[in-house]
Amino acid sequence: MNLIKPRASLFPALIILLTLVAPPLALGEDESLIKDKSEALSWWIESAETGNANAQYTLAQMYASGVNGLGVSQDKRAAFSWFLKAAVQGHAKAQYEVGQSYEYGLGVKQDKDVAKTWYQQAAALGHSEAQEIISGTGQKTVVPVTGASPASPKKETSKSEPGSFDITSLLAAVTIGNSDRFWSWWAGGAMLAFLTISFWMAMGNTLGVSSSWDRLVRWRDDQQMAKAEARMAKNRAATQDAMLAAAIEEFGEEYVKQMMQTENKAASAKQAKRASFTKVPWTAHLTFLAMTLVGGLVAAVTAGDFQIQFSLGSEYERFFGFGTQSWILLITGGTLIGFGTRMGGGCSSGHGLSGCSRLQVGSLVGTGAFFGSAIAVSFILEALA
Amino acid sequence: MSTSTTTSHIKMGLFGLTMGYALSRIGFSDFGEVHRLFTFADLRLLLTFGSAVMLSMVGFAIFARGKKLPKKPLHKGTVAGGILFGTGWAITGACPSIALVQLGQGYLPAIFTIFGILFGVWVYPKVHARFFGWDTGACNV
Repeated sequence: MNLIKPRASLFPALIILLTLVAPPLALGEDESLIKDKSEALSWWIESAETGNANAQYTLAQMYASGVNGLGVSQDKRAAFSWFLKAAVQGHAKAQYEVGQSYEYGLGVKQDKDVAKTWYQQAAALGHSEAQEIISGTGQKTVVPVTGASPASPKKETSKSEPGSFDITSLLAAVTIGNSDRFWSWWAGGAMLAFLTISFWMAMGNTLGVSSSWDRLVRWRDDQQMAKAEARMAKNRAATQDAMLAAAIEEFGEEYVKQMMQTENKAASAKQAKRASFTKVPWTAHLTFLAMTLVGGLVAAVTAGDFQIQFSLGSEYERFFGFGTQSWILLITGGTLIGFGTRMGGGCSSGHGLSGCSRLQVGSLVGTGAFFGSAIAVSFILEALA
Repeated sequence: MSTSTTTSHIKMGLFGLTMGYALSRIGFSDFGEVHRLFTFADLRLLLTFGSAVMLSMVGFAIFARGKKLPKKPLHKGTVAGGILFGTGWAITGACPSIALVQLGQGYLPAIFTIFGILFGVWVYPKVHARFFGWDTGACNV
C-alpha cells in the first residue's frame, strides 16, 4: 500500500516551478517572429478573424489583387469571403466590393439583383460610386433598402439595416465567427448535446473524457479488480454457507429467512448499479481516446486542411513563440490539465456538459472555476503579448 | 463476456470518432478560436457550449427522469482543480479530448500536451494520497 515515496513531494514543486518559469521564457522569444513576411500576413489574418472590419477589408483587397511581397497569391473567392465579412459589419467600401463581386461574378456566382441590394446598402452609407450606380441604373425604387436581403453563401445575416450598427448586424458579426470554416453555434451545440445524452443512454455512464484518461493510466487496477473478483466468485458460495450457518445459530432460522429476502433485493439492486458503472474495460477507454484522435484526423482530411504542423498556429506563437520553450510550456499545461481535472473531478465534458446540464453543484462550481481561470489567464496572456 | 467487451469497444470507438470529428468541425481544437472564446472576442464557441448545456438539460430531463446518474458533489478539490485545469486550457488551448483532436489534425506539438495530461493524471492520485486525502465522494480516487 505504500505507494508514495518521499520523492513524490518533488512533483507539486516541479509543477509550480515550471508554471512560474516557463511563461516568461516563452514570451521573450516573441519579437523575433515578426521578421518573417508571411508572419505579417498572419497578423492581418488574425486581426481579420477577430472581427476587425478594416482588417477584413484590407485582407480582401490583398487577395483580390495578390501581393507578391507578402506571398499572397490572387484568390477571388477568398477576397469575396473577406469582403462579405466586412460588408456584413456595415463597412461601406466592402459592401460596394461585394456588389461588384456579384455584378461581375468575381469569386461568387453572378447575381445582378443581389449586387443591387449591396450597392444600395453602400449607397445608403454614403459611398459615392455606389450612389452613382444606383441612380444611374434608376433602380432606386425597385428593391427597397430596408428589409433588403442579399443572398450570401451560408449566411442569413444580411437582413441588417443599412445604418448597420443595429443589434442584428452586431449579433451577426459576433455569432458568425468563422462560419465558413466551422459549424455555427447552434449546430455545434446540438451535436455536443446529442453526444452527451446518447453517450449516457448507450453506455449507462455519463460522458467524461478525463475519467477515460484516468482509466487508461490506472489500467493495472482493472487487472487487480478482475483478479479479486474471480477470487471472490470462487469463494463466494463457501463464504455464504459459513455466514448463513453462523447467523442461524445466532438468531434462529425464521428471522434469517426474512432478513435474506429483504437483503437480496437491496443487494441485487446494488449489483446492477455497480455493473453498469464498471462494465466498460479500460481498453475500451483507450479505443475511445484513440478514435477521438482519428475523428480529428477525419475532420481535417475531409475538410481538405490536413497538414503536419510543428506549431499550434500563429495565435499560439504570438504568445509562446516556437520551439523548445513552447513545448515545455505545453507539457506544463498538459500536466495542469491532467492534474486539475482529476483534482476537480471532471473536465469540460464531465463537469461542463454532463454535470452542469444536471445542475450538479460540484459541476457548476467546477465549471465556473475552470472557465474563470481560463478567462483570467487568457486576458493576462493578451496583456503580456 | 467477450461479446460485451467487443460491443463496448465499438460503442466507445464510435463515440470517440463522432466526438473528435465534431469538436474539430466546431473549432474547439483551434487555439485561436478557443483564445477568442476566453477573451470574448468571438462568442460563437461560448454560445455553442451554452446551447449544448441547455439542450442536454432538456435531454436529461426527458430521458433520465427517475433514473440514477452519477453525482458530482462539491469537494475540497473542485475549485482548486478547476483553476489548475482552466490555466492549462488557456495555455494549451486543449482539454482532455482536444489534445487528441489537435494531434489528429496534424498539430504535432499536441503530443507534449498529451504527455503532460498522462503525467498529471498519473501523479494526481499519488499527490492526493500523500498530501490531500479528502473525501471526493467517489470511490475511485
